[in-house]
Formats: sequence, structure tokens, C-alpha cells
Amino acid sequence: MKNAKILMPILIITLVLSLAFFAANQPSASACTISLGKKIKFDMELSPKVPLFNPAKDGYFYPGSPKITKNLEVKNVGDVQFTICRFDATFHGNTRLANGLQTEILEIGTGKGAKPQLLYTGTLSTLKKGIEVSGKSAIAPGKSTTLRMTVWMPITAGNEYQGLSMTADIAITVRFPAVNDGRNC
Amino acid sequence: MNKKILASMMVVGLLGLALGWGTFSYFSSTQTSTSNTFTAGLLSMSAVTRSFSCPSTWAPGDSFTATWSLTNTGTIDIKYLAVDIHDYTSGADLANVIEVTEFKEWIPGYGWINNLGVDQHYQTLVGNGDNTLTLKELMQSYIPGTEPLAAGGVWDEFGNRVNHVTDWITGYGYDIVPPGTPAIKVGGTYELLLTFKFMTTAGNDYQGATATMDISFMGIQDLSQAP
Repeated sequence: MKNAKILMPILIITLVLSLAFFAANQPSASACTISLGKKIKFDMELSPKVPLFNPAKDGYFYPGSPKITKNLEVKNVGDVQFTICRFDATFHGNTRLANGLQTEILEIGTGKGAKPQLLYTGTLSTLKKGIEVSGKSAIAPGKSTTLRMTVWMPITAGNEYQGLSMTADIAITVRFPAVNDGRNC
Repeated sequence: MNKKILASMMVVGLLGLALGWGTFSYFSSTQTSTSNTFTAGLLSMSAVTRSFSCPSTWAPGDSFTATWSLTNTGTIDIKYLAVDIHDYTSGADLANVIEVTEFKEWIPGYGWINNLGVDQHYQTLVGNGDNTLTLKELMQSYIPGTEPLAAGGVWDEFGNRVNHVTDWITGYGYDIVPPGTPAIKVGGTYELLLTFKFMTTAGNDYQGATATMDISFMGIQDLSQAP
């Protein structure tokens, strides 16, 4: 009887917590949900929409060639804040070239004096496997952040990359809500 | 009885908590920047065109001019041009009585480099310093010494054992060109010009003698790749 008195409050607390987690954090089947009659939108946009890297404008890569840096704006066009959480890439053409190109991705933010945060540095080819990253900050609805992508060919690259050409589709994934808890996308 | 019910409910509650935590997730959205193109340059040169022949009546006091030219047929500038003379022979030491009176390189977009001019400092850096550059000195090295070396020195990228890794690189070292000027820009044609004079001091020992040499040209983008 005494045990039952002790166990009962524990049981009630456990049940309440379980129900709270299960009910509140289950994603719906679609990317939208209804809250108090208002449709909440989860969405983001990239700018520019044209390819960032173009050899006709940027020139060709060769060992020790100048680094090519491009900015990609990630804008929150939804109603809930988000953080950047993943990069993926799909390659076409002479994909061996991706092994000979180094890549650095910084999130530089938009605020005055904002300190850049390194999200990824390594070969371009590694992005094919997908990289989980921790975005610098929560991007509020209507706000944006800037990814600074730099690509270069190290001086140590050899002749095996001469004349190769490839294209890369680079995917940016963000997650809602913007909680930095170390979990994946 | 109550204990059993409570224990069962506790298990159900814990399972619920575990399930709730395990399925905890976020919404996500993905957008893609498409068709980003990366292209590596192509470093390519046309075959070397040689334009000369040694006169069959070449005798002491006579001169003739030889030229070699090559075109950058790639997609990027050749920043430096490494040149190496190797596999040379000189019957009766003929090369030692042939004076190089002209030694120029045509840099497309820039003009002639006079390698025997004061600006290039060849007079003090090349050969034995007696102000006469012989073909033998040219074949051996631009650094005083005897090449090819039987031992010691360093191996260059042409596979020769030499005194110095930067024997002859256009756009660097002895050659003075404006900073940033490539040795051979895309589509440009480089030319090497040498004028040989059979020294008047040469005697009958050299009649019918022959000297031969191979010249290799290598385009490079960085001095770390230099021979």
C-alpha cells in the first residue's frame, strides 16, 4: 500500500510527460499544420537562382589558381525560424575533378559585425556523401543568412585533373524549429 | 493486485516516453543551387617547330641563327616555361669553340627578352665569367659547373642530374619580365632564338666534328613545380 502511494505520482508524471512528447512533437504528414485556424508555412529560398560557379566568368582551375568565392543567400520565407543543418551535392560530368577541388563554406550572417562561422571545409567530393552542420544562428521569418562558398585547386593537385569539367547541384537543408541541440536534420 | 496494476501502467508509461523521444523530429526544407560548373584548365603546347639548319660549309668566323617556337594551345596561360638541354654530344669538343652571340626569347604580349643583356645578368651568372658564352656552357648549365653530373647535385623533372633546380625558367630567375606576365599566354607563340658563331680561334682539329643536343620545354603554373 505504501509502495502504491509512492508509485502513483511517478506513474502520473511519466504518463503526462510521455503524452506531451508524443503529441506535441510528431510531425504531420505535410509540411504545414493548422494552429488556431492559421496555416503555418515552413519554407526557404536561395538567391541567386542562377548557378554560382561558371568558368566562363570565373576562369579555369589549375594548381594554385586564385580562389573563387561566391555568396549564396538563404532566406526564410516561412513563418517559423530555422537553422541550416545539412549540405548535399550531386555531381555530373568528370566527377573526378571534385577530388581535386577544396571547398570552404562559411555562414557569415547579415548583422553588422557578424562573425563568420565555418560550417564545412574539405574536398568538394565529400559533399556528395552529405554533411551535417550546425548553423550559426536561428533565421527568423523574413530574414536571411549568407553562405560564403570558396572553391580552389591546391598547388599540390596533379596533371590528372587537367581539362576535366563537372557540374554540381548543391542542396541546402534547413530545419524547423531552430533549436541547436546537436541533433541531425 | 494494486502493485501489479501500477507496475503495468509504469511500463506502459515508460514505453510511451521512449517512443515519444525516439520519434522526436523536426520539419525540414531543402533547396538546391543547380548547375554549378567547375572546369580545370588545360595546359597544352604545340609541337616545337625548329627552324634552322647548320650550313654544310660552316667554318671558323661564320654564324647562323636558329629558332625554336611553340604555341600555347591550352585554355590557361603558361606562367613559367622551364627549358632543359640534355643528351648532348660534342665531337672533338666542338661546342667549346662555338660562341652563342645571340640568346633571346620572344614572350608573346611582352616582347623579346635578351638573355645576354645586362638586365639578365647572364654575363656574371653563366659560364666561366669570361663574357663569352659558349655552346658548351649553354648545354651544360646556366649555373657554373659541369653537367650532367655523375654524382651529387639534384635530379630535375626531365630526369637529369643537375647543379641547380632552377637552371632555366622563363618568367623567373634570370629572365626579367613584368610581374604577372605569363611566359606564354593562351594562343601565344613563344620563340627561342640562338645565334651561333664558329670561333675564329678554332683550328683544324674541329673539321668535320658534330655537336648535338635535345631541348625540352615544360610549361608550369607554379615555381614549386619547377625542375
